[in-house]
Amino acid sequence: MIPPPHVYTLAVLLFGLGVFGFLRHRNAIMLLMSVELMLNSANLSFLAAARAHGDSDGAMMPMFLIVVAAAEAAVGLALILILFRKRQTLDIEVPRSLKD
Amino acid sequence: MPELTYFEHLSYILPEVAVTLGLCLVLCWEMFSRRQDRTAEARRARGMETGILSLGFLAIAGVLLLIRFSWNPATVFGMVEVDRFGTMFKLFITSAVAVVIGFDLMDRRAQDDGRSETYFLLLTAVLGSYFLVSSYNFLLIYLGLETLGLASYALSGMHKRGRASAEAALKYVVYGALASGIMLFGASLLYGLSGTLQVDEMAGHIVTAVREGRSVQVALPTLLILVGFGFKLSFFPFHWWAPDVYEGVPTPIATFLAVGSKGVALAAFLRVLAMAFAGIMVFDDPSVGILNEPTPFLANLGGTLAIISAATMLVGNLAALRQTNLKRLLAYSSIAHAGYIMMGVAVLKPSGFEAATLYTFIYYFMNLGAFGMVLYFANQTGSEDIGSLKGMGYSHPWAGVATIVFLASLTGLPPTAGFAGKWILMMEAWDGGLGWLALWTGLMSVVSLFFYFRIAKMLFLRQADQEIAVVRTPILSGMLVVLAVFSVVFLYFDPLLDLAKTGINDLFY
Repeated sequence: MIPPPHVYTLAVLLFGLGVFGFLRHRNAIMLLMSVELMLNSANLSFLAAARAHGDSDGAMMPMFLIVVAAAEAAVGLALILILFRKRQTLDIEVPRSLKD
Repeated sequence: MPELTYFEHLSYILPEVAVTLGLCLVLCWEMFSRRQDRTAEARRARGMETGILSLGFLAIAGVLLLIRFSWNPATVFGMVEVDRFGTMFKLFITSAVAVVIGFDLMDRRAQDDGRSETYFLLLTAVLGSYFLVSSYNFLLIYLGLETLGLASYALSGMHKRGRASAEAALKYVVYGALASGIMLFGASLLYGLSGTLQVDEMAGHIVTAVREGRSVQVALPTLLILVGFGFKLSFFPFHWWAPDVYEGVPTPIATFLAVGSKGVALAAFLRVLAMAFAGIMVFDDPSVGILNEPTPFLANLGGTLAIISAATMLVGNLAALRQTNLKRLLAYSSIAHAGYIMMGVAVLKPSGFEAATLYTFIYYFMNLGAFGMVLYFANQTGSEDIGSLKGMGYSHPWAGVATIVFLASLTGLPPTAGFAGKWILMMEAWDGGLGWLALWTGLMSVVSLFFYFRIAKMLFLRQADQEIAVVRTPILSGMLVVLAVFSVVFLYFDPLLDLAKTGINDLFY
């Protein structure tokens, strides 16, 4: 059995990777993917803690998170499609019809 | 407390059931009613029908909530807290969304396509908010926040043909997902610390950790969770999405985001803070006297919140100075108001939370009014530019005077409710050892005078460039006048303060 600290370390690394990816990229799809990584790191961390505490609440959490993340991705991709049809770009900093 | 049966549990969440039934019905309505008829009149009629249907279900939920207000607090289905604090904010969001639906029905520039979907999404957001404001369980808080969030993302993107709607919505969904991801990671760390998802059960572990000097274990997750709520409340440095989104979406939706979504996020934030940190907060409990010794952790948390509050006021007010789009201006103004509200939260005492809750209620009236004003004048001129208001005050006296009242209240001038609310917040900050923040708020209110009164100047002190035919919208004018009366009259002030006190009492004692 893998001890919880190892899982925690992996979770923190994944979270860091997600944050790095989010800051590094400007492509909307890459941003959504980075967020998914962060959500998955939270999932891992919940599971590790659930095992450490022998509690089932935390193990149930990822089930809900996966569904919510899928819903979020669906809304995000729908909007990406609309934007791409209009501007032929996925860079979220380029379309600048909104500014001060 | 005696064990409740399943149906007794269910009787506590009947408002939620009513809203769920309502949103299903609204979603199905278009399928079953003359769908083939694509003429403009038929589509307008369908929009009207679903709007009235949604208002009806909101009214049912509102009545059920009013009945529940006198019930004793209870935990139903193990996760949902039905107490007066939650019920109060459920009434807040229900009435706010009812007003938003009213605004949408009055919006002459709205397309008739997709109206029923808008109402469906608004009702979904109400359902999410209901669970968000009434739980100590992180799972339910997260699900509530996401239901509200997903509905808001879709609402911002609904206006498909609008120039900026898709762009605004995409920014909103990407950064919103980021914020909720960060918050969730914070929640998972707290779960690792305590082994429970219930904030009330976590509190004991948090107090022990802080007392034993392991405050980093609490501070880090607290900061991460702050990001999640900070995004919804749009305080610095998570505020930049608000101006883009508010400008890009139709005015009624911007109203919903500024008032409804912010109010319930604040409620959940207060509930989590109160429950997690009541064990280390320093305040007078009438039955025990002063409870706790001050801890460095508490001082740092309060200090962080106070600095966030000051910075939020600064960026909101300064950026609003150079805006020409009314909705963008109001977005920055609503950011500044999040800063004022945070001042009460930063005190970390029940009395400060009361002041914050009270100010949120006052904010509700004056901001619904201010956005209603944008809608009213956009209906007349077809533009949301500040220059389009030139001389409109004379041709629209009722709306013009109501606008002056909203602006005075937002600035915090006496004798408006905005003044009273801000005054109480400043007194609380002063008593709570945040004197500098109170003075800073005074200074910022002076700054805000400049941009609020630029609107007033346009309305009454400039001549119109050309004559614009007056469009009569009696219902919208009536709504504005009622909101203006509520933003000024002191008569209802004591009941409102009592309401805030009752709610906060449920959280602490």
